Amino acid sequence: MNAVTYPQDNPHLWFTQLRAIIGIELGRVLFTSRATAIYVVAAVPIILLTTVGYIDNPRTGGPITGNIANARYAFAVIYAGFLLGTMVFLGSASLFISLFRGEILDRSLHYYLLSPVRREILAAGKYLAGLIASIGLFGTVTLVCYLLLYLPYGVSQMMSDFSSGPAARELTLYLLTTVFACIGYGAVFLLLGLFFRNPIFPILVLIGWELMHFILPPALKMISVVHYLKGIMPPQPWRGPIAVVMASPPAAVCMLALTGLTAVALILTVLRLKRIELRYTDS
Amino acid sequence: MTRGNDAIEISGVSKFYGEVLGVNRVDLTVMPGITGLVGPNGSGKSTLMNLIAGLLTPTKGTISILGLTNREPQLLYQHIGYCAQVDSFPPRMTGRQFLINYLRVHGFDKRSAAHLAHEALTRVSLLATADRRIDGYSKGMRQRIKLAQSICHQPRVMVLDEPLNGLDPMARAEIIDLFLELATGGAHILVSSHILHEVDLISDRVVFLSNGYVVAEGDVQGIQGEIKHHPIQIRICSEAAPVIAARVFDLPDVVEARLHDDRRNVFVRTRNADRFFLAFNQMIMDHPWTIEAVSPVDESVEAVYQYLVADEPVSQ
Repeated sequence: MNAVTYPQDNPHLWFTQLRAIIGIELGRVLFTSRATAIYVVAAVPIILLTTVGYIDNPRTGGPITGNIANARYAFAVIYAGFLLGTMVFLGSASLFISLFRGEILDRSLHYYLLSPVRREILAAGKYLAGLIASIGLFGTVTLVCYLLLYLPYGVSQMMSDFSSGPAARELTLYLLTTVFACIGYGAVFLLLGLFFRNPIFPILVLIGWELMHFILPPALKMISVVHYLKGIMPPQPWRGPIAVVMASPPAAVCMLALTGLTAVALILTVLRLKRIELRYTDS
Repeated sequence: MTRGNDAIEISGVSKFYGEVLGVNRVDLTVMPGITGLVGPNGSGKSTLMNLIAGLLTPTKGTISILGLTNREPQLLYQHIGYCAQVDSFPPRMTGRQFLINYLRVHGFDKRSAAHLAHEALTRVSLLATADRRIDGYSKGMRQRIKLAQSICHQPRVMVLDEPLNGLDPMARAEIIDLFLELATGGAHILVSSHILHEVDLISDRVVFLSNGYVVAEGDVQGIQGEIKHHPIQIRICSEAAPVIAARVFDLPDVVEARLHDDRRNVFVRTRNADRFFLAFNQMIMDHPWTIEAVSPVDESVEAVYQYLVADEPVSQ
């Protein structure tokens, strides 16, 4: 028996396996009914900003935001409050948690667990698939929303801001923030999907913690993801009289911190995966 | 690559789910061939299969498959194929994609994966519908695609939980032939089934489970031989059945003789079949009876199982 020769000597075996896992998972996260909620959440800011772009100020007859500086300020509020705080957070939660939890509920995880693949590669494949999907989707939404700011101000204003104004830098920072949000939140949610039968409770706790971030004392701010994301994004809007102001570390430190958090979460994911048990029985 | 060991070794394995017993103190050595796992719901069959497949970790004891354990999944799962009882698949895949995708996860290049998938689909007679989505498959087709997935990488150990469920008689016969062919090739095939006569038909040996314990193991006739107090039922077909029914009580170890309604068959229960046959042969020579057939009627897995677990409460 076993006439099959396993490609053990292939130095690129891990890469073949990784690519296969990413392919399967991308199909699962982007093209199944589960993805509908993510697409809906992603579409909301685009619809909102498109609508705002076409609404005129009834008093001046011009754009409702008045001028492009106000529009940028409005975008900063929308980005911090909705795009990052809701779309990327909830979208990443839905997407990354389903990578393992969805398969456990569907009872199809055993197809992976019974494959001769290292658990590290399995975790990496699923994480990268989630990352590609989330960055592709939420990065595109961030880009489109930023460009929609210019809808009432025209292409010439946009070209001018991108060539000599702050737009290129701002957009890059917003995109970087979205990317690092996907990286950080993604790793945390991937891990939560392996630990919690019902992940709603930990998601609520986490979103509560992240939303309250601005009133947390400095020591506690440091153990929230959004604290480090703020260090990457452009200057944020004022948070109100009860906000506890604390400067975020430099962007490079923030990126390093988020990478560290991701590494820890992924290591825990692999350790959990090595011990996971599946009980398939109808009795 | 295995570790020079051709057996599945299960040593002192217990599995508890909290305080609920899955299996307890199981010691088994499974050699190549077909091994049937028999037991009612809740007897521990699926738990034992999941333990062997490495989906569960024993609370106590060790399991070694061809010298490998599930601490090295990248080696172990080259040799294990598992057909789960649950009927679930990744969404939106055709049968062929399903096999190819997971063969790619095994590390095969596209060409080898496509070739192995084609071979497996042929073996389970699913080529004609291989390019249809699994979501639209019938119960029998889903069962066959699960089987194809479990054998497509040509493993040496196949753990098949109720693999004949949902198959029509023709498909059952085909799949049983496939098992026999694979076993002849040297594979270890562990099959559980609630259709006992099928296990009886295909298994080289059977393992009886009840309430999480292995209550007996071996070949059916061997087990029966070891059960000294288990009366074996023998059918005697003769025109002289009514007379025989009256006279067999003179023979040693006969505990019951029952004349069938057709008055041509007598069912005799004896505690020692060998002694009964010797004595009955002598009786035939002394009488002018025409005997059409003498055969044991309950050397089936079911009969042995009923005997073994009849008095034990069955947990669900």
